[in-house]
Amino acid sequence: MGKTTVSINLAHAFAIAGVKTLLVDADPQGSVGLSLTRQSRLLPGFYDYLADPGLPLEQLIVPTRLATFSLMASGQAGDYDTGGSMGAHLARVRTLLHQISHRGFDLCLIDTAAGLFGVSGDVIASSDAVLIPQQAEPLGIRSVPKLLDGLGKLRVMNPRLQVLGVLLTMVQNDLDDSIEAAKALRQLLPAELVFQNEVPRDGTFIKASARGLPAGVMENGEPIRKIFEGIRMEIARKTSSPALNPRHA
Amino acid sequence: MNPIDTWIDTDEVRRLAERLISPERQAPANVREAGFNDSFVGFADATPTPADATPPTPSPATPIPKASVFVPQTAVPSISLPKQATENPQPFSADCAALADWLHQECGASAVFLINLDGNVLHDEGCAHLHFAARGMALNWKIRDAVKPVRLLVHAGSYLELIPLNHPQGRLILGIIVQHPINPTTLDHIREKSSRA
Repeated sequence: MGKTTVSINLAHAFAIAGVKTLLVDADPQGSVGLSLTRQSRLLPGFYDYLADPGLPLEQLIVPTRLATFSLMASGQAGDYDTGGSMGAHLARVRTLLHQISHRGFDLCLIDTAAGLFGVSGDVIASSDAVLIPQQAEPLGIRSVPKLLDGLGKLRVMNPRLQVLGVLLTMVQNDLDDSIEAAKALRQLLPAELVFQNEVPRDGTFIKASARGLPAGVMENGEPIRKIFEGIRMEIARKTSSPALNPRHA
Repeated sequence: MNPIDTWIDTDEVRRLAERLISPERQAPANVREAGFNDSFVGFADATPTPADATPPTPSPATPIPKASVFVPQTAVPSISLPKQATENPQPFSADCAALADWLHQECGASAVFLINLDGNVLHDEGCAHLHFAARGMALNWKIRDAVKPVRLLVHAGSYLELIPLNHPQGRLILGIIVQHPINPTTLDHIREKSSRA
């Protein structure tokens, strides 16, 4: 459990707070779509727009039962090399984000494929902020230096990019290795670069995915909903954006 | 035992982290960025059009003074690679500067950079934000073994030409910001000139 679960539940947290949110699936595996919409493989989406920027935005945006929450699937075009060269899709990603902004969304949350190259790199080089979900286990945390170095280089390309920080996920409070890994990461990085809230490993995420729902709306999902509300508030504080905190604007 | 200390250079990680939480760099007002900006429109056709056949000349109407090029605060300082003592006694960095001057004068270049495949910056004129992409292309894309340059349309009337060079110093990537695509004849001149740098 990592990027996609965080993306879905964080987008939902912003949406129920009144932030008009678009969750874009930029992972060619289409995990967001597969999690939330059964017919996602039939929908045009992000990669179709990269292939044909003439596609109207309204054909790509999928509304949900929550008026403030919309989705964009990854789409049908599947021949993209997510690990390839950067810059190839920079212009189209930026054009798409401009269109989304003009459409009135307060937040466009993009679930990228792993890594900082290819389309994922173009997305980060076009974004205002980046959040790094990191599994609380030693092997994953050893990759943090490389990640920080890559983000530093991307900030040269995109100086306005704000690094919101590392969000620890799959934290297992009944497993010493997981607790130690989380603790070590907090000691390693500056406090402002690690979210105070952590996402636990919880079977509710799997049950929610099976039903095509954010975990926070499940019968026993209230603790998870509170965690993501906490993460949402941390992000709102870090960005100081009134659009991301409408109740206090 | 700490599960990651034995695997990670903690000082290096903290340095990288501090760099990420530093405030956004602000470009000085009234300067024109030499590379990507919001109007970047993507890759251009690598084949020069007939209109490109004549060597481009600097337009006196729209010069980009070298002094106005924005250099990010984190730009890597230019370095000189060691050179054989029996070769040109002039420092390599001076050779790079001379090559850049020639590109400004003869090709109408508004900015120039030269990097190697390790990411070392041999010469730069405000293009640090392009080095990552240029090196990425050099390492991951066809430019690595290419003869032809890779051309990107940075914005209207501004092209980035990435030219792979086989140089005694090794494989280098020359980046040139120009108003018009560089034609093959000029490209040959650039290669000849750079081989002597």
